[in-house]
Amino acid sequence: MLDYKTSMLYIFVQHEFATPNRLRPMNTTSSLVPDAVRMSYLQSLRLNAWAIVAVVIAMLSRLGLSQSQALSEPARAGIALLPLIPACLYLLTLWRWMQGLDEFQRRLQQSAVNFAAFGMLLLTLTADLLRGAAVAPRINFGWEGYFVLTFALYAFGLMFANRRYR
Amino acid sequence: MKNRLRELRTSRQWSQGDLAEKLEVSRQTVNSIETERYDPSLPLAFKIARLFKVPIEAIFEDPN
Repeated sequence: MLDYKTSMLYIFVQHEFATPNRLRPMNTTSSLVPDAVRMSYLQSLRLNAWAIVAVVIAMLSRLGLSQSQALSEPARAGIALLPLIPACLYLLTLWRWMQGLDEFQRRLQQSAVNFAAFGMLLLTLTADLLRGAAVAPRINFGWEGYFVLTFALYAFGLMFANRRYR
Repeated sequence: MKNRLRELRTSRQWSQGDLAEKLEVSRQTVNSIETERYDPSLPLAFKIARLFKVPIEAIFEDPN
């Protein structure tokens, strides 16, 4: 037997993420996410495949670099920068996806991307200022931190933008 | 910007989804235009006018 909160959460998840667009009643505007990002797991996987590849390569290159100290500097730089290739391909895929959206959905995405970009700029500036003042010399987001923070800011930006036009 | 999109759509008994399909946009886009939270671009406004076979100014009201 589900309690009240769990039941409500279940209904919310069903409504927000599991109901296909064609089954949604007309004028349903209570969702947190815009139509453009409502996609099946397969579509989502296809869109974000290069991001997954980039993360895997970044982890492998870090592991490889830590275990092979004898490599020359250019070789180390090459291995360290290897994740940039799938990262660039990911950005290209996202750009193409955004070009395929209608003008309103593109505006929502651009608002979210702007929010994430300016948010990250402020965060890195704050961290740098604190490091410079030796208040918090050990602040270092690392690439995982940048990835998670950027995505979190993008998600918040998208929710705010979607809410604004709801 | 005030508009008569909902009125025109309902007069033809189209759902927001139907109109969105005809305009090749998302249903959310149609909803945002109807609720006057989003002003469409000029190409989309022309597309809407062509679909309903009325001049743009018959759909969108000049705020001035």
